Amino acid sequence: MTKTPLLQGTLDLLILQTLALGPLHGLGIADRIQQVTRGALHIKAGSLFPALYRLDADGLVSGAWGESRSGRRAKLYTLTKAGRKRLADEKKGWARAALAVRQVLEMR
Amino acid sequence: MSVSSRARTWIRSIRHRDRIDADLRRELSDWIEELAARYEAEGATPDAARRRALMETGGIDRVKEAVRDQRVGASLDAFALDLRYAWRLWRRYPWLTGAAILSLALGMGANTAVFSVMNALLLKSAPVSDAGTLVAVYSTSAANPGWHQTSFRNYEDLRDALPIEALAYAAIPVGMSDAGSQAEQVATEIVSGNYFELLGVRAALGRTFAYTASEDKVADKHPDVVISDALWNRRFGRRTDVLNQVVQLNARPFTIVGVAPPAFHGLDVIRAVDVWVPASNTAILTGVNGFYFRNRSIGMFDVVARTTSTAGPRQVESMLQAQAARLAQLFPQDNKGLSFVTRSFWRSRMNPAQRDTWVRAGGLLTVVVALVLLIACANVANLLLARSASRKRELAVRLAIGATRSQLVRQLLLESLMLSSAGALAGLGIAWGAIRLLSALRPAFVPASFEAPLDWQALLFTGAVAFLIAPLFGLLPALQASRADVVDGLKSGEVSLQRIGRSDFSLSLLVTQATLTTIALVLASLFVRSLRHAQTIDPGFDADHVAIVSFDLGMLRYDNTMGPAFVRRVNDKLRTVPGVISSAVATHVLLDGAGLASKITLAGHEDAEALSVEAGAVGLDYFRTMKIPIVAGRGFQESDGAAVSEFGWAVVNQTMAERLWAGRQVIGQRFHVLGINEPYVVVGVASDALYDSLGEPRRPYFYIYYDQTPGLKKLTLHVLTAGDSRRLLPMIQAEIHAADRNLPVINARTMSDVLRDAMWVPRTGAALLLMFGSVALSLAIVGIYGVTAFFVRQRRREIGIRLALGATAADILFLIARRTFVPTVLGLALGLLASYFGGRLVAPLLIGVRPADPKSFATAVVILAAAAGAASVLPALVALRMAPAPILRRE
Repeated sequence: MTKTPLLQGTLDLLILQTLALGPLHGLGIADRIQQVTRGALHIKAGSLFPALYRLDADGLVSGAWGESRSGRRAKLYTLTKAGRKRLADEKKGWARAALAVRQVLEMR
Repeated sequence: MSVSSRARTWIRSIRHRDRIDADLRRELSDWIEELAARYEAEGATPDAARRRALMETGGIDRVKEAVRDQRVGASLDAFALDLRYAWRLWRRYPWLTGAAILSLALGMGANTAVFSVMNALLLKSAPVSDAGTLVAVYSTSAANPGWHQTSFRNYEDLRDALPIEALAYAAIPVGMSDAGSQAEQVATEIVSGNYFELLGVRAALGRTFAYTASEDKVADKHPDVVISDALWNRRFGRRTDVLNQVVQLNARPFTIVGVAPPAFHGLDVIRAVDVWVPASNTAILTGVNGFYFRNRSIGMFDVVARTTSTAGPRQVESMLQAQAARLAQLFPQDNKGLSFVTRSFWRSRMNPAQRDTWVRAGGLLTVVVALVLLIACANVANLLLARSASRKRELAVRLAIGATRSQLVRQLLLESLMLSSAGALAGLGIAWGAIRLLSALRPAFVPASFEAPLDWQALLFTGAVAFLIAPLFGLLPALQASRADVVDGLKSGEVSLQRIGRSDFSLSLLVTQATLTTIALVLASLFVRSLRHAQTIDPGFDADHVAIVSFDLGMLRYDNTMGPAFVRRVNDKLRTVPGVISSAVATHVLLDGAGLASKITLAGHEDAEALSVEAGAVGLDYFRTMKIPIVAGRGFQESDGAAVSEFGWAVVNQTMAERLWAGRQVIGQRFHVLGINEPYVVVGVASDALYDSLGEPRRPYFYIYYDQTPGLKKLTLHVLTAGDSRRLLPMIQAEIHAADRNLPVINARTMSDVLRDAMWVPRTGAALLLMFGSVALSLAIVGIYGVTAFFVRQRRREIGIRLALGATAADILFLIARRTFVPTVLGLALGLLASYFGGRLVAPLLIGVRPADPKSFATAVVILAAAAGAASVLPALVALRMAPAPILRRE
């Protein structure tokens, strides 16, 4: 399993995108990201929770206590309206940046 | 996210902080449980699964710290925590904290006080519009270099010829009286008609006056005056019917047309003006001032010009040069070699020569208080270092439980900032006291109206200093502490000196302290010796038994026969008073400021450039009254005052005789005073006296006979008494009052008062520097003591072993004293070097002492060596009294 270093600032985007598919609790988010990236990205509690709490404080996600899919008591995070808008903006920006970087890298 | 919604979130997050913490705790334990369950399902034992889950999570506290740092308002949160933490520390180390705050307060208080005074004296701009475009204009010439005032005639020509606006103002003595109240002397300025308009100063009540240049020339047409807010308050009780009220100025009626705004006291920073009179009112200018007003050769007015976008400072300067050349050509006798120079307006708010002295004294004081502050900082750095060393275990614990090094540094810096803020607050109190002390020491030439308030600028200054010095004393200890090694710190709880390099650092602080203290001590002993020398100076006259009372006959419009008659009447009456030996008038009081500025040419050399020499007019018996010896020829006699004479009679001082007629017969020599037709003939030579200040070099001076110049109306009666001259003052005033009831007495004092005022600079300098020197010394003693005590505590074990092995007390003392000896000696040497090379800057402030005075240097060395020795031996003696056995057992 190769570890890919996480680009600065991309964790927020990943969390928002993951939550866009439906509410999840903390470990659920980390698992989902690991699954989707086929184990390339392994998010630790020390990175995830600061990001989650910041997003919560900024009003982009909201957490509420409920039950996880496995039936455990868990705090489930949902994307808010502001979060959805931010996600769309960030995606556009990310796509533009990625395109730009690729163009540079493929320059001959 | 907008600021307001961020603020709301922050407030919410504060309110829900506990809930958020609880949430996080639950989430994290859920996370760990779930992970553990997962590993258990994969086949691990419950214990192993839980351990692995915990490890993967990376420590609950660390995650919590990371989350706390991330939250909105987190920094503020952390700030509050840090504050609380720092406060706890203060309470744990009250003595150390108190010592640190006191050191800083002393340093900062001194700085704030000096800043306030210097700011008020040298930096503040006048409350006028657009002060940045104003420039001051001075007259100068090759023969009389420097910054001199300009004559009104030259000012008028300059203003009329050039396309720039310029104003002129001059102080004149004026007696004010109105119906039903006592006559008093008021600080008055005679100003050009455009004064208020050009400065953009509007009346707070009524109006100001504005007259054109041509109106200025019509004598006595506009007897209008503007009064100051202070005078309005003091004399007219802020009544609005003061407008159009008629007051008598020098016995002439004037109408009050307006009151100036409270902040405006004229342009001179020391002399607060009470009455402004338009320059067209030459009638109140009687006597000496009338002479000056008409005389083109002698400057009396300060000139200020306004530059414009088309005529900038450089154009104005070159226009003025051309104008000066033209004036010199048109009036070769009066304006020989004349040149105009400009100076930025804010630097011209007091007489430039006086300002230079203030700048020098202010610079010296600033350096000294900065030294004190630096010594205080070095001290506090040392104290913090000692504490951070003994706090090492605690810091190691915090690091181990997940605090980052940057958090520790931030925490320690915040502590420094709290210390410096507390120091600043206490320092403001000290500054307030110090300013009161300084104004109590105020010399006679600074009027009581001069204020150096602790205003917002002073507060800003103190705040900035507090902010700047915090890292100065806090940063290094903080960095040292953050480098603490976790394992080492936890293990021993003791500091390993070598590893964190504390001793090197604190020893270099000792060197710095010793250097700065040496400089402060050298300065203090220089000024003390200067004062002692000043006290032994012979002023050239007998100051002990002379009472002096001043009045201005011009205020009551005495003419040239009434004046001398009045003087004769008063003298005759006084001679009958028991205790009076003799009495005489003079236009000037020795040692109380410059005499009559005169320009002279020698007979036979009338075309040479005129020399500036000061003079005083004195009455019969003056030399006898002042006990000034006549060394050749004679003093003045009654027959010298004959009504008609083709000569003026003069007594010159020894220096003038030597400089102008060296090796020749002085008696009978002739010279001319510009503006006076009759030549002067020397009838006698008087021995030198001190005329302006105690430290002055020998200077030429001559006396003329009052009865020949009755136009001089500002007079001082000198009375030689048999006993205590102060006790006769009321009697003398009563005689003057009996001779003319309406004449206000301007000043009544004794010559010893004058001598005391002249001693002000050396005395105040010595007092201040002695004070700051002692503060510096005591701070240094605390510093040396602290370092030695710390060293002793560190080496307890070694000392114990040495004592147990039979070392003598002297061995131990030597071991300990050696630690502070080297840095102290090094600092002493550096300080002596710095004093030697920097000393010339204070040379003009010293009287009869060279800045490289060996005795002062030796004094500083002895005092510092003794203090350093005592401060390092004391903790060593304490160490020796410790019994070796218990120490060794504890180790």
